[in-house]
Amino acid sequence: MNVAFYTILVTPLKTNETYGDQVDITDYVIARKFNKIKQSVDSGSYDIGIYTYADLSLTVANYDGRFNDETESSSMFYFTRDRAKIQVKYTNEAGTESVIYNGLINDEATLQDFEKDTVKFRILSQDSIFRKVKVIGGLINDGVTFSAAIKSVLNRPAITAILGYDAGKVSVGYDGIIDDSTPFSQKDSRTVLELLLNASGSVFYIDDAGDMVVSDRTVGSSGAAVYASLTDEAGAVLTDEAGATLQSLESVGGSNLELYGAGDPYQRDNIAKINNYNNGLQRTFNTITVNEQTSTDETFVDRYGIGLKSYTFDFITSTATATAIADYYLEQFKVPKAELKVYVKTDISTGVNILDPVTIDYRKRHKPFNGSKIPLAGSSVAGSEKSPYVIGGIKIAPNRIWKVIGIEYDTKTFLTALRLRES
Amino acid sequence: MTISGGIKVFEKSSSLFKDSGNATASSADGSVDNILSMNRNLRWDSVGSDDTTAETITITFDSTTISRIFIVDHNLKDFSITYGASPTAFTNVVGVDGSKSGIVETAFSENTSYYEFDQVTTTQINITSTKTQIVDAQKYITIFVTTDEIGTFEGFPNVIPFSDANEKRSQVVTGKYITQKNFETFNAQLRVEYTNQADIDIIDSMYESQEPFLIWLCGGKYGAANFSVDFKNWRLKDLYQVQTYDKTRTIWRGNVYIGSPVTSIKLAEEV
Repeated sequence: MNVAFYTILVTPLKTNETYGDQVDITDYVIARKFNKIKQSVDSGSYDIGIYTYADLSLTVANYDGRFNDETESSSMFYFTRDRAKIQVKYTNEAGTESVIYNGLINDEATLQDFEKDTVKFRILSQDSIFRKVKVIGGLINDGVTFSAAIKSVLNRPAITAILGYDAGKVSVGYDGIIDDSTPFSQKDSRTVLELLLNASGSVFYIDDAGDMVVSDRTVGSSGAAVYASLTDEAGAVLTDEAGATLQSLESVGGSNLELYGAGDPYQRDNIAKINNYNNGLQRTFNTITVNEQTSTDETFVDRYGIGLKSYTFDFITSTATATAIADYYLEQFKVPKAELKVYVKTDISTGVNILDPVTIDYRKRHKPFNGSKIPLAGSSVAGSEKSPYVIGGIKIAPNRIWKVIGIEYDTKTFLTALRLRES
Repeated sequence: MTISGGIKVFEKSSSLFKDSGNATASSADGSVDNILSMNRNLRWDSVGSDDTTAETITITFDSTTISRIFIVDHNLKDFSITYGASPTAFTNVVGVDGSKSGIVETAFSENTSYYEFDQVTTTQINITSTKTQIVDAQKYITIFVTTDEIGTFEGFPNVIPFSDANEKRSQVVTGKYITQKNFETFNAQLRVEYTNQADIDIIDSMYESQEPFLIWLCGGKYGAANFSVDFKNWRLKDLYQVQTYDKTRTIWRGNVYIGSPVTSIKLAEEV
């Protein structure tokens, strides 16, 4: 019998910049302390996020002292325990491995229990290296674009020693110009990256290949939906009450994850649980202020009430750039977009990345009237069949495209919670 | 020769729509894929058919080896089933009413058909039917299954099956309740004692199976000679796709290791 399982591996530092061999420590990890692993973008309520890689807490049995720090001869960390790489792999029932978490030990937060002989590590995701790399003078200059500045911040030896860098994986939502680069000096890379991501309307994540990715918030291209604007007979584009263009879904390219609820006629049900559905008002912003330049949409303010969001970027002095950023955010967040959380078997979620497309076919369940079958269009004869009972209060049509904004692996239940936002 | 033994256990159907099985029909083609799932609530109904109209259904799936076929909850009276793109008859066929030459029925009168035959490896099944059990009715099939057998219990397990309506119940402010019944699901506990190695091996196979599997409590038995009443879970049409859950427990009665062990296993219906 093949079963799914998790493996936890550690790679200690050999010198300040080179790593030794990877060691399997799964047998030492205390199960009840090993819970959820998550990554998310824009997934906290009421705000616009750029990235959050949740930290991981790992408690290990230290009966033989192998997890002591480098000052003990029994330690496996012969240079330093800090910054040792931690990797969590998931192996499915077919034996296929997927890396679901990469992180670094943050030794500042390590706690050791002498009574229980345990060591509790705080693992920070690999992008925590940004906190330790300073943005040196001259790295970002006046007049460069946001995307060029982001590339300069990411493409540093201390960072690329841990994370993959590919300039082709860096693209931004709005590519403005930096007017004054002095606010970046004497700051760590994370602070600078956050400023640039916010200004460019972009998000950061690490993909399956371990590469750093910066992109706008549009759904991943691997399965991008193709929409067509709806027009009237005269060819004029149709809009809804709020002025948004009405569109029809033409196709979904690539390999979007297809999820089915309990009402699927072919019993393809692969949704274990679906909840936390809301209509998206909690993340609707229809009045955006950037450096005192405000962009607003009165139609949406009238309809949904005012949703305020403001940014201050010291490195932008141009009012045109500030207005363009405000306009960009307004377009992105003025329309409420539904969000929900769906739980699926980890087996089918391992290839899913942040911003990947997902479709959900969640129909109401039809239960036949006693002694009857469910009437079918095209087959059933009017008057001879009985209407079925309809179970369920809400449905989700399969022609809506959702994008992944959060992934949470539960190592105990082997379920993955995907937080989705309508694209 | 008739179907032998007791409770039967099979691999899950190899022609499920969700595993890339497909069906086409001479009428009502749009709904014929319904027969390729274990959904008991949907079926294929012919359109414009009577007892002079031959309806054909062709089922295609990934190449697989099969030795058992079910047609669950149908009203066909005469029909034949062959396999392959060049239709070939099955050999050494045994149905619920005895041996036959190929799968050919001329006056079938039960609601579920089951056939055992020599193993074949194929990608296609062909069904042709003309008459229904009630003259000139529309033909219907609820579930079609191609499979291979895991085993047949030789002993008589103590089975406690139960159906669960999976209801949601909330007490409202009047003190009364709102109850919403969901799809009914099959659950069972099997307890095997005073049995032989073959039955224990089936229990092991069920427990170790990563894939869901099929269980047929009646094992092909039906009618007053076998059951005093027609009871849910024990009828011919009660074929369930299940998976084991929880622990399996085996003990030696009175710690006598040369006696009969007692083992039990829990099952629940699986998608």
